[in-house]
Order: sequence, then structure tokens, then C-alpha cells
Amino acid sequence: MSITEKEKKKAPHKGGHAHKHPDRGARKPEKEHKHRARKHSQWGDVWFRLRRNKLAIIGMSLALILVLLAVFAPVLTPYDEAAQDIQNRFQMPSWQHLMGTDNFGRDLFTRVLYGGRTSLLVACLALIVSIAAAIVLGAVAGYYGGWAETIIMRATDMVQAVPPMLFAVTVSAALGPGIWPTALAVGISGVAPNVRLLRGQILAVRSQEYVEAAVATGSNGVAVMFKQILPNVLSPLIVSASMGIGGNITAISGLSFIGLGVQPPISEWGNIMTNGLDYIRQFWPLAVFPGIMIMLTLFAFNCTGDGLRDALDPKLKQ
Amino acid sequence: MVKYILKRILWMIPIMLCVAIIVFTIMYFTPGDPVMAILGSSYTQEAYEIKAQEMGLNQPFIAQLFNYLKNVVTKFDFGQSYINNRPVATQIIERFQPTFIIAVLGVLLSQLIAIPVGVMAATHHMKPLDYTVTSLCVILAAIPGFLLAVFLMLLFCLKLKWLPAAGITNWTGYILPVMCSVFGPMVASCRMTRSSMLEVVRQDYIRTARAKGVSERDVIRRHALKNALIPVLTMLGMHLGGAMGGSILVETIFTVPGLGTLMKQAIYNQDYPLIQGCVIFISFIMCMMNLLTDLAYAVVDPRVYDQMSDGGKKKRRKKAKKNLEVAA
Repeated sequence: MSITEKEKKKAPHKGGHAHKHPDRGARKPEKEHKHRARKHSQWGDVWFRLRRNKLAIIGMSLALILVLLAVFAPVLTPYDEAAQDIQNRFQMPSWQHLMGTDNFGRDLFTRVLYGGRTSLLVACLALIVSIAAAIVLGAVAGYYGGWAETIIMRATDMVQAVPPMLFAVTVSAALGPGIWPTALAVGISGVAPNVRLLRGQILAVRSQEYVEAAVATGSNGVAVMFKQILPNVLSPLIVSASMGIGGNITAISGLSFIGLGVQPPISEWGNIMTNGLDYIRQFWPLAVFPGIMIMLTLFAFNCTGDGLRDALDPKLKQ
Repeated sequence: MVKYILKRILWMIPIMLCVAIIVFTIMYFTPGDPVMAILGSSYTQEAYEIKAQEMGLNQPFIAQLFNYLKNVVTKFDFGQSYINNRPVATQIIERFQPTFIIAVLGVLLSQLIAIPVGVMAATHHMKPLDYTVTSLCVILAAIPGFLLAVFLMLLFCLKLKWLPAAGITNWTGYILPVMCSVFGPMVASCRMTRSSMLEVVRQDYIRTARAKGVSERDVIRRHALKNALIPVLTMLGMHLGGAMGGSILVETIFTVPGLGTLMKQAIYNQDYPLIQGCVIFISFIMCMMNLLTDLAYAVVDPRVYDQMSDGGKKKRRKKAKKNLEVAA
């Protein structure tokens, strides 16, 4: 057995019922435990509970479809995102143009698909930014404590005194438009709540016996953090992430909607809607279809998040 | 109690100062030269320096920050707009009213709807009514305010032509913006009321109340709801902040002459003092509202007061010590 496997076995997140055997340590029960772990691991249990939640399954399938639509956008549509056809502008939805055409005669369906690409990409980037920052800050605050904790927690107090949307607007106004600046702006505005969440979780896990054991056997801080603590605070983080995607999409399209964020010619749901608002009196599809896509995405990720929360923490739902 | 209130108010001062520092710093390091923006493309080096001197932009960062904070704190002076040279504070005050009305009305209405609906869902737990409410919440949670604004505008202004699509000339102009700021807080509070009620209803004191023969209506209203509302109402300040922050989108759609449109214009013009002023001002309002809800709760609920102040703990510790001494 390799060392990493041993390490993994030590952490109770792998074995579903390891926490019920705090006195486990002799060789004998290990065998039994191994058998049980295979029978139903934590993630197996989670998947079992998730499967029974219809709404979560609907949400996850919808999310998957939306992601696939975004990824395979170039294959799914015969039109070019930027190809203008002035003679055929403002066409109502038809078989040729599923969602009609916009003010430059560009195929709206194509633009909405490509817009989904941008929106989802930026939302994921923003999520990575905020989760990565939150892990570092939350770990320092929760695990090491001391003055670093005081500073980090007070800083989150300050940042949370600004409404999140306003904070995103401020940072975005400072960084300028574009994919990366928008992802950064939205990501940064989402760091504070995640730091609080992680710190709380880490504080709770830190005093557990297996962490103490790891420290006592001479693991250094970083190893304890990544091998013992993080895997055990993963579930709230996953829930927060899947909820976060929806929130990020709203924030991103909101930013693009007021002229920050991602700007044309790159299509993004928010900026297609802004464009649509200019022509809303003559041509409704331009504002409505990207709006519906935003709604579907939010619905998908919210349902997934709700379902995951219930599945990961069965104590909550009764 | 007075000590607690004072402590809370005093704690607000560093928070607001830091918010001002953060916002100022972000805006300071924003690329783009305000002097160049004002002077246009053709200017002499001399004119540039005079203008920079006049605006205090040739000073080091710390000096500028200090001056800004000093003016904000002592004179409520947020500087002047780069574009029209009018004081930022005056512009904010001029534009404040519609935004505030929309946010407050929206949040209040949302609570008025959400709390009874949430209670009803909880008392009909696992019955059709509960399922209807929860699934409606799931659907409504997927509609952000600005999307709702677009849909409502299409329906009521352009199709049915019942309401004005832009501007606020009389009270009808407020209807749609308020509706947009109702939905978000409504869904959140409704879910929260429901889950918090479900939790409270399982408590022992509810069983006690029922056992001693209190009518079901009174159990729900007087025993359960009072306790279940704490987490719901502590969110009020946040909802208000959210509504005011989201105003930038909703106001743009309905062209309401409020803080949101002011900010949007400021961003468009890269008018940094104005953006700074708006963000700090809205954060201040949100902090005040948070403070007020917390204080109101501390007054009403002794447990909240105990939790938030050390006073309660100290008293209890003293009491425990005394009891020990007496026992000894």
C-alpha cells in the first residue's frame, strides 16, 4: 500500500462511518473498515441521496445541457457569431433563425449560444478566483488564528459592509471591461462570504481528534491543511460553489447590462439584453431570449446547489 | 443597554472609514487620468499641471486619501464631480429620494408577503400548499431583478400599456421598480421563514404551549413566529443594501432619476469622485439599517442582547460566582 493511500485512509472522509470508530487504530478493524468503505463511501451515499431528489436531477441535467450547448456552440449552429446580414435584420423566430436575427442581422440563436460560452466561462473563472482566495484566507484565519485571523475577519467585515453588487460594480469600473477583469471583479466581490464560511468550518474541524493525531505524528501545517482539514470541509464549499455559479452569472450579466463587464462584439447574455432593451419597442426577442437563458441557468445551478446541500448534509433536511 | 448601543455605533466608525479607504484606493489605482479626461485631447503641460494642482492630484496617495477622509468626515464633502463640477454630496442628496423609496417600499412589501406565506407553508408542511410555495420560490429565485424588470416592462408598459415605461412623473412610475425590488427579498425571506418556523415548531416550548392548551393560532403567532422571525428580520439590512445596490440595474431599465442612474452615468463618464461618493453613501445606509435591525432585536429579545454583548456573560458569571460563594 502506498503512503498516499494510507494517508487517505486516515482521513475519515473516505470511509463513511469512520467517525463512529474513534478507537480504531489497531490493525484488526481496519480490514472490516476497508470492506465497508467500498460498500458505501461518502460520495456513494451522496450520489444515492442525490438521485432520489428529482429537482436536483432536473437541475443537474439542465446545467449539463447548458454547458454542452456552450461547449459545442460552433458545431450546433451553421452561422457565424459576427456575420452581419443587414437585409435580414429583426427577423422573427423561424426554422431558419431559431430565435430570429438582431439589429445587424446576426443570428440570435448563435449569439445566445456563444453568449452562454462567455457567461459560463467568466462565471467559472470568477468562481475559481473567489474559492481559491477564500481557501487561502479561510485556512490562514481558521487554522493559524492569531493576528492574521483578526485582520482577515475584520477585512471581511469591511468588505461585506458594501452591497456585493456595488462592490462588483466598483471593482469592475476600476479594472475596465473584458473577460478577465470581469471575472476578477465578480470573483473578488464573492470572496468575503466564502472566507467566513470556510473559517467557521475549519475552526470546527481543527479540534477534531484526527487532526490532532496528524499533528502529533509530525505532519506539517500545509499537509494537515490539505490532507486532513480541506477534504472534511469540502461539502459546504461544493454547495457554495454550485450556488455561486448562479450568483456569478447574475452579477456578470448585470455588469454587462450596465455597460461594464464583457462588451460587444463578444456576445454575452447581459450585453445582448442591453442591446435588446434599446430595441424593445420594435423587437422583443432580442431582450427576452438571453433573459430566458439566464433564468434557465440560474434555475439549473440553484436546483443543483439545493440538491447537493440536502444530499451532503442529511441532518439538515427532515 | 446604552453601553451596547454605544459600542455598536462606535464599531460602525472604523467600518465606514475602512469602506471609504477601500473604495478610495480602488478608484485611485484605476487606470486613466482624470486631468486628461477633463482637459480633453489638446492641452499644454502647464495647463495640465495647474489643473492637477487645483484638484490636489499631484500629492502623494496618502495625502490625497487623508484629505478625502478629512473632508468626508468633517464637512460631509465627497469632493466635486469631474464632469459638471458640482459637489458630489448635493447630487447624491438630490437623487437619493426615489432610490430610497423604491428600496424601502420593496423590502417592506416583500416582508409583508413573505412572512405570512412562509408561515403558511410551514404550518402546511408536506401538503400541497407547502409544495406550491416551495416550488414557486425555486422558480422565482431564478429571476434576477433586472430580468424581471425587462419582462414586466414588456408586459405592462408595451403590451398592455397600463403603466409608463420610463421616468417617474407620478406614483404610477414607482409601481414597476418597486415590484422588481420586492421579488428577491421576498423569495429569500419566504424560504427562511418557512425553514426557521419548521425548526422552531419542533422545540420543547411549543410542545409545552400546546400541552397547556394554548390555541393553535396563538401557538403559531405568539410562541413560534416570534422566535422564528429573528433570522428573517436580521436580514432586513442586507436586503435593503441589496435593493439599493441592484437599483443601478432596475433604475437604468425604467430610467428612474435615482442614485442608480447617477452611478451608471458616473461610471460611463469615469467620474470617480461621484462613484466613490455613491458607494460609500449606500454602504453607510446599509450599515445604519443593519444597526437599527440589530438594535431593535436586542431591545425586543433579551437572548440576542446577551449574545451580542459581553455584559450578559459578565453578569451571569458574577451571579454564578456569587451562588458558589453562598453555597460554600
